Amino acid sequence: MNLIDLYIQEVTRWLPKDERKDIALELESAIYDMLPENYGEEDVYQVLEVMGDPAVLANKYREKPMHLIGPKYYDVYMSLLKIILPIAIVISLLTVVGVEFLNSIEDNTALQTLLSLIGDVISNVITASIQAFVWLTVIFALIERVDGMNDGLPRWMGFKSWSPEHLKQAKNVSEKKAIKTSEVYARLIWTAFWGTGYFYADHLLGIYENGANGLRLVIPVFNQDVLMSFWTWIVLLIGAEVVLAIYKLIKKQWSQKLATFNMIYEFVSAVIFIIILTRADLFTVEFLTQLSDWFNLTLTNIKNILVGGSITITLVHSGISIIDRFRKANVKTS
Amino acid sequence: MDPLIHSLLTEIRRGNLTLAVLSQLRSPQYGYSLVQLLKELGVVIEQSTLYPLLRRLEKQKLVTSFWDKSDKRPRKYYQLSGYGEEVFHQLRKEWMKNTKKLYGVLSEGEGEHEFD
Repeated sequence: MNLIDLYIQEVTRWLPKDERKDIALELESAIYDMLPENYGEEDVYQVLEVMGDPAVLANKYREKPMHLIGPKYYDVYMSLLKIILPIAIVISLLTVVGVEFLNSIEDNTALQTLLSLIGDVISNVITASIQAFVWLTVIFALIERVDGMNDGLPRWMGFKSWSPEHLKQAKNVSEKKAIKTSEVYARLIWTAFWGTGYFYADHLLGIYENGANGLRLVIPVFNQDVLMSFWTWIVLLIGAEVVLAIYKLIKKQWSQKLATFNMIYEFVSAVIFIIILTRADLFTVEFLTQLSDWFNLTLTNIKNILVGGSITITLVHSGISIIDRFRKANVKTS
Repeated sequence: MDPLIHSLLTEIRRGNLTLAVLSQLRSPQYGYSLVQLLKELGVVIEQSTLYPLLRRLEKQKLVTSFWDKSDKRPRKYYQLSGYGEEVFHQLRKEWMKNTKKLYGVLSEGEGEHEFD
């Protein structure tokens, strides 16, 4: 094979099969046109030098982009990545808790349970992040390649081209109304924590004793059966929390509507917690007995203090949250 | 040459080359003859730019092509299509107009009254 054939092969191997033959023939004819009557190897070198790098030439033939995600979609891609990645992490966190909950745990020490949970959480979070990243990237790379409109204009959230209308949506985001993203994530992580605590209460929450086999939970605080009888409600609450978080991340600022949703959520969750707290057999007898020993109070008194205190904290917390969100939503920005 | 100037010039030349190529395709031409023709007129175009450009113009239906295999070397000829002729006239008119304006802008002091 001579140099010219090799050169043509180098160019065409980058091109779609159905175009190769035609382009090869044309290039061949063009290269021979450029060569003098009786050419030597030196002349061939010169001509191929003029034609330039085969990969560059092939790229000029291809109209497909040489980048994965170009300037047109980069902004949308990055903003979606920033929303999706943390959500994927939180959801995977919750999934681990859910799956572990379905597989009954052997009677290990609390520390072992916690360690194996943390291990699962870390590996799941890494897998979920990679998945979210890969799929989003693949989808955008595909969009980039099938996009028929070669206008090169950046697309914004909602995939529309920019118009002054966008300013109207953006103008009201003021410091005082803004929802901090860190706050949303902190809440999600807190949700994951209390969700774990709730479903593993008999393994995690209680009075610990330092025995021969390390730290061991001896008296659990709650009757797990009672907690479990409300599991659908708790799962719904956690689901609502995640949906609310996504909504907050999209809206970026408090509005009347968002504050109302927040109020409904806080109200419903407060009601559910109060119903659970007032269940007669929520606390284990052992736990109550231990406390009454320590504080020299009757069982009923201890129980009333625990239940009353928890209800007060729940109500105050929900009340503050509801009022604060409405206050933020009503801040005048003009 | 300063690489920035080089890339700016390439940008300016890109559209102009398409026009130059279209202008010479009223009669059928193959790649090499087109390069020679343009060179005589003072327009330098690299081969590696011309062939992909011709192919793109063909895909855009501005030119048609045919193979002439009667010679000892087969050659692919390109020629303006009816649609291509129409587009070329339009482009030429626009180019003339815009260049006249830009010329006015760039020749200091005389430019202002050229705006309308």
